[in-house]
Amino acid sequence: MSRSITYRDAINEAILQEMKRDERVFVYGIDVADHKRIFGSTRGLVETFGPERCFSTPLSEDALTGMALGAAVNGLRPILVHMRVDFMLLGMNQIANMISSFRYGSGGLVNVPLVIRAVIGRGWGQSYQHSKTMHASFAHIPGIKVVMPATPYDAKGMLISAIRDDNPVIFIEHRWLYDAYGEVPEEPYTEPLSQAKVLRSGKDITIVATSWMNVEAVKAAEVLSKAGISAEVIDARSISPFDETVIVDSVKKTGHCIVIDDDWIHCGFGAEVAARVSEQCFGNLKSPVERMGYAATPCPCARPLENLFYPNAVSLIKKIENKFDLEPIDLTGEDFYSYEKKFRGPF
Amino acid sequence: MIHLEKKANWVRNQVLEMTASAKKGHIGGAFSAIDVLVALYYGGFLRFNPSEPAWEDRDRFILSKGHSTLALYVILADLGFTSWDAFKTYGQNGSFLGAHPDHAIPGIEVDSGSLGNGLGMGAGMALAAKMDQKPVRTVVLLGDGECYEGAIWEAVMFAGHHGLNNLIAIVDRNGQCVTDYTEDCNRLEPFTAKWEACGWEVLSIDGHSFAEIGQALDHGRNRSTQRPLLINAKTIKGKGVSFMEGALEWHHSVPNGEKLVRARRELTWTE
Repeated sequence: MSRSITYRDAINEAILQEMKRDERVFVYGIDVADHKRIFGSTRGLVETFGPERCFSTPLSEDALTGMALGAAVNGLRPILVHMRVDFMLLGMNQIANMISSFRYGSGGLVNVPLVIRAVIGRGWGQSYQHSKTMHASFAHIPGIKVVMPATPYDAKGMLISAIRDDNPVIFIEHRWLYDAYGEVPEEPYTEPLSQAKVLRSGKDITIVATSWMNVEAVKAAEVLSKAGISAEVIDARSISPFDETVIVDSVKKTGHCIVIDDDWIHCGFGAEVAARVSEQCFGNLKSPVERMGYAATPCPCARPLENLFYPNAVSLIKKIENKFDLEPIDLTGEDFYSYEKKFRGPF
Repeated sequence: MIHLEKKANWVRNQVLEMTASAKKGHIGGAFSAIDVLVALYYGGFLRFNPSEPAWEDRDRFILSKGHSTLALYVILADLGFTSWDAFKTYGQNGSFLGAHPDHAIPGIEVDSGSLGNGLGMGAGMALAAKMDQKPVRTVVLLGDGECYEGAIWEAVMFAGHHGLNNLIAIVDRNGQCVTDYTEDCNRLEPFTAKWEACGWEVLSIDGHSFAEIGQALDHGRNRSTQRPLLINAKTIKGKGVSFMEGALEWHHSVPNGEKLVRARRELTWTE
């Protein structure tokens, strides 16, 4: 049975159900069991499963990440949680040099079934050590799956898939999505870790979005529809492995493609999409693939600079107005999302 | 000594008021570190020049536990590094005084608050001073919860190996990290033995006794050893306000209402 719950609760339910189903699953990380429970996403776990299967840890990310590997190759299925992806980088040696290559190094004999949950995104004014995304960096490394669900439905289904997967999966969650409601089945289910998904159908232009940028893209598509532009929004969902089929099919139909990515543009996921679309839709493209993302600067702290730093529905609308040589759309009366005005869904 | 106690009490009052008015701040860890900070800045140990913050021969101070920065802001404003007008903007839109130290603020050497980084940077500064043959001392104030980070121990070994006797690490040993007691979360003890094993000289003191802090810093000034110095300052998180002392929730809670009134009352200075 399906009912409307938040992204936060969808994650919580996925972990709860998987821990009930499989006693090898456990969850740990800094503040996992503290009073705030990773923005509520690990609520109730220590009460249900006890401190042996849900526990907080000290600030020692490198060791924590190595511990996940050790547990995974000895038959457990750890979920390591990082409240901020920025500090997950302290475990990058384990991720890039050990976890990603362990199965390869064992000649395919040893599975590495672990999940690293990484919370990304801004509050506001959080500046450069609290607001990275890093999916392109992780996805650059062979041997790790990197997913970033945008909807509550995907959050639950993809997290269950990640937990059941025999390979390391980095599961990236944007904080601003936590309050979004959506239809989520009560019973456990899985969603693929390798397929993009059409969030909104359209025929004039393909917008490929990651994570929170799906909210901005869907909002932009709504506004654009008033100006007669029918935009198709595709949630990339899986950064690695990345199956471009859904995107390629869409661009063959629309002839135009913009990638709006929650990350730096340079050497980012947008470049990967642009390359694949260019390779496979060369004759169909009516305009160059465009990329939107962060400027090549650390994330600023001041609100006006932050507003310029992050792409959003308005900058996406402007981009598409330019592409189609449209008159500027009147945005007065339009309600856009912000730190204060949370997106509450559904998509 | 009394002037230092009085100053520390005044700094605690300022931190309390700014935390309450800005509705943000890490009050518990600030209160545990204030006596050490006051001794460093007002006790004649650190050499600095507020009118020339970048003076080449200044001692370097790194607040590695950057979350306690509000206490440092008060001191820097009081000493004339920044103005009181600027200080009063802490935590507000448009202010350059954020929740963590920023090197753009006069008197602050490095951005900090991303825990585990300060001692490595301090070791580099101390090594640079030696190579330049400068009489500069480097002091790094660490949190004990911060010492869970592996990078701290890499720096401890480096400093011991290179005989950085111009480097002083002070650990604000209040026994608590954000949400737990250090000995419950991940045992640090035997804490000082680990530093000693890496070649450090160790002094353990009461971090709220100006007599003991002063003696330790005097010792730090006049040493003939080649070893870097650890001052293990045993402190109480939330020191000065009874209901905050040792209570986990006061890592970054904001006092208001009756709690604020009570805190103000307890921090009233009587000669």
